[in-house]
Amino acid sequence: MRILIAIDQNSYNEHTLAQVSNLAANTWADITLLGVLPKKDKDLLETEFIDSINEYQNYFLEKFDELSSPYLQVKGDKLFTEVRPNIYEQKYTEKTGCKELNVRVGVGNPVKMILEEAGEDGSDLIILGGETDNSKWGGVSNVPYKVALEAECSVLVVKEDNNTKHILCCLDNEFISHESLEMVGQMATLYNADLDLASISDKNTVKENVQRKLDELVRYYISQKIRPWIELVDISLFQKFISQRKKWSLITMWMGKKSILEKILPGNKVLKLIKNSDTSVLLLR
Amino acid sequence: MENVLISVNSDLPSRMAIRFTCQLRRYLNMSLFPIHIAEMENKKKSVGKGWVQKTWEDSVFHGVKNRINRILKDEKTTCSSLAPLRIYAGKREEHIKKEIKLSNYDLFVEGMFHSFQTEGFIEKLRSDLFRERLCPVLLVKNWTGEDNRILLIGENNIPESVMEAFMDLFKESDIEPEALICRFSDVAPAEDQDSEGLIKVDSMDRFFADHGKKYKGVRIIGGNVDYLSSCVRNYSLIISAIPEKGNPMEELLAKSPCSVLFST
Repeated sequence: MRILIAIDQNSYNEHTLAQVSNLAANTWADITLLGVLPKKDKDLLETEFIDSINEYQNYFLEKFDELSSPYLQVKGDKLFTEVRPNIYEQKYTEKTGCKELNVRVGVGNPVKMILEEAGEDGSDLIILGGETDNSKWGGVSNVPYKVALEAECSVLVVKEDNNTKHILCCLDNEFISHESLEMVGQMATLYNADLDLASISDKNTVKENVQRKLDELVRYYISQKIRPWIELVDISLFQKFISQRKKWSLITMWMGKKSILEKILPGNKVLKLIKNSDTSVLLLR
Repeated sequence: MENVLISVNSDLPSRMAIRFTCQLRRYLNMSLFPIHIAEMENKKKSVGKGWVQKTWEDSVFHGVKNRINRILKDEKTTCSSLAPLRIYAGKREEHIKKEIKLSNYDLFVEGMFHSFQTEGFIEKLRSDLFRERLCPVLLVKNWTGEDNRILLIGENNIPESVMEAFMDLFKESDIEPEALICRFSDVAPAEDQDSEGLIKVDSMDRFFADHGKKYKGVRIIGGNVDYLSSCVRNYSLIISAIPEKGNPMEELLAKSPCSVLFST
């Protein structure tokens, strides 16, 4: 798995990194830490911003034991060199580690930068902190939402953990991929949470093939020591259902091309969910 | 040996009901008797009359029987105490009530999907099968694997029938249940009461001591159903008396994803 973590200078990055390091420890994913700096702040590149990125990198690495860490422990000087226009990458004089931890800084529009780097990296998952009223990504509004909506891969928007030990996984049909289910399982392990499997149904009837899929999921998650709870939700009540978001520490939704959630939860509703919710949101693709 | 009657359809809730009940064998020596009632009048409109109708009904009946037998065969790999299927045609409630009465079962089990819409659950609670139950009824809404978090629930107190239902099923176990006493009101409390922790209650202390068992403690929480619903979501089983029609406990149990055992 390849994870791209987008960070800026706001305070939400710390809890984002804390959660990602746990996920990385579980999955041994290849990580790209992408610092995003708006063009207007380019003069900070040489000073404060690079220092913050280095601090974040250290904060991430501190979560691992030095001897058993799969990631490179930086021994020598950290030097950033421009590898593509407006993209700077950390180069080391000496490195160890069996998994990648790439550290880059991009200068420009945060949304464009994050999406381009994720594409370039072949990321399976983009993780970024959810903006608050007082802190926006480089002064640009709705960055997490725009990234979530436009990305080709899955996106996790991290909010501060509300200590609710339940994760919601919205399933609308049998098309959800195995990779996505595994990712949901990882999240449940990460949050040490039970898994609420909401099956979107029509008039409380569940097709036989969907029941078979649900049965597979229940058995799979139980084998992973995760407790799955099935709940049927009628399509007409889905928006009311999702508004009880305080019940969950993370809401995951499958937003593939065949997903009916795309239809019943148009863009502006996803925006509201990501923007107004205290709950982290994972959009699976 | 306890005899358990389990209502089976060709669906996932029935599979979960079998698995859930089978796990109780860790604490209780039991035999499981699956039953299915084919309600022919509920099937798609039959074709023709006379022997044509009879032939059509026979084929529907055998189709259902085969599907359920396949489910039982699957589940038997992990639940060896499943007896052969009993299948009848007719009215479901009447047949099941008659079967419980005739064979003197100790427990009746059925599965249903937990739904965000509470009407289906409440309708079931208000059915004659539940109201006029001759033995405890276990409604399996979810199966979460090996899990022994049990909650005894009551309004204003924990009824003795609820504690007895717990003892009947778990007397051979060392499970210590929690209890929740609900004080229903129309509004959520201004402050979170969940942090007040577990207390001990004299009547429960005596009952559990008499049976040589322990319980973790009781939480007494006031608030509306929405507020209390967060207190009833993390248990493999909730044990309750059947609530009166219109009592907020109906709605609370309907909102819980947990399986519920109704005491007699």
